[in-house]
Amino acid sequence: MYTFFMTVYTEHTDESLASIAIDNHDAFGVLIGRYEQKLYRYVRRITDASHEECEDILQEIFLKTYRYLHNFDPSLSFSSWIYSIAHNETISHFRKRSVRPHTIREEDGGIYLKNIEADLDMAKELDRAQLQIQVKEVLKKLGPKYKDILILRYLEEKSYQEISDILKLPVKTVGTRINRAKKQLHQVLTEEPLVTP
Amino acid sequence: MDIKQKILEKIQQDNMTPIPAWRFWIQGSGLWVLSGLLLILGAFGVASILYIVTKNDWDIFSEIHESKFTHIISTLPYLWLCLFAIMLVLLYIDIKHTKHGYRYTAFVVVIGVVGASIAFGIGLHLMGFGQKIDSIIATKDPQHAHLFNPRLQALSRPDKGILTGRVTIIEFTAPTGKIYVENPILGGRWIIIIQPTTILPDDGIRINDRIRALGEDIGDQQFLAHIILPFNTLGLGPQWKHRDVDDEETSFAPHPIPLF
Repeated sequence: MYTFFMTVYTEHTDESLASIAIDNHDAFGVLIGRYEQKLYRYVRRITDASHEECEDILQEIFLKTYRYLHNFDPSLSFSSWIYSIAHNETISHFRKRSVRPHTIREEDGGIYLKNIEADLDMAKELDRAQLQIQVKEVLKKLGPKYKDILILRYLEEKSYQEISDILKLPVKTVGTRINRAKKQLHQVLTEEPLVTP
Repeated sequence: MDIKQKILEKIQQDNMTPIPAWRFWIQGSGLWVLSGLLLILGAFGVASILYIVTKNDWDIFSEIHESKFTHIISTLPYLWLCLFAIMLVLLYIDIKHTKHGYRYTAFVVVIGVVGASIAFGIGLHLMGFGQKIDSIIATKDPQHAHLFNPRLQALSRPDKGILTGRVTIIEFTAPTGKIYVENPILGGRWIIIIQPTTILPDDGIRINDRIRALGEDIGDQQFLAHIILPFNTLGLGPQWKHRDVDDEETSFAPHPIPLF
């Protein structure tokens, strides 16, 4: 039965599934299937929490998404909306513990570097291994407001508009923060003194 | 068990349903209604500020304070300005919390709320709401009216030769008479004495009018008036002085006081 619905719903967009899911658990199941891995990765990236903890947070995210389906604004993409819920739930989960880990996962280092390289011309001229260490060092020093944006931009590969909708910030602010973070990276990579934001 | 199965089972076990749409609608509309109310309140604040500033005794400021600067600083409606600032902050927070409020930068929102409040406030001022509010406060809460309109305090200095009040009784037998005024800041009733040389307002004086008098305190809550002016004048200069030069003969003659 479930497979039948899966086949039927594969044609639907996330947005239309969100509206069907209000009365149909199977449609919601398809949405979970589409976002389970993406959101799990995102939660791990912004927190570096354990597998079990990530699963708990993921469950909270999907349950909240279900409860708030009527609040979904079709003028936004469903992806931005569910990422926004994921971001807030993760922050709120760690607020209870008052500590939110901020390290870059080893497996993400390469993707980060590859994407940031495209934005920093001089990076290509530097030793890649050395660059990776330096990038990770700088990212450790950046505050969460810069780090979250960098993760969304360079790991999740979201557009400025999507980041704006996820973090509930004006697009201009998103651009400013990305530029500041890039400037800091540039300073470190060119051995200039680092100015903490 | 995979996470998808777990979530769907939890939804079924707990009989969970999505929160009804009307709740979000009320929440969203509530924020806009609140924004509208805050905008209206802010605009009434602007209308009151404009009224107070434009009718700020510019014709006699030199009799009240040493300089125009001191006059402006002493009579600015600080309470209205504070209330207006609070309204703006609340309006800013409210708009930022609406569904798409996050899309606008702080600069755009601030310019928007200040601009809209001022534009709406100017409209209300031109329709006479600023004066109406000031008059209502002066009537309903005379003890605290000077907090909203500091010129009442500046005009309540008989020791400096300035008195204001609301007319309650007129006793006039040409060319002299008495006008009884209520001034809550000065502890109640004062008698303004009219002499043949007292300059009176062109439009006369009526019961319930608010008036300003320049003259001298002669004790026992009595004030010898040299000039009586209407409470509000549009003029920016001391017009009564011009009248003094242009038509000296008639200006010192008492004008009839219609008793309404």
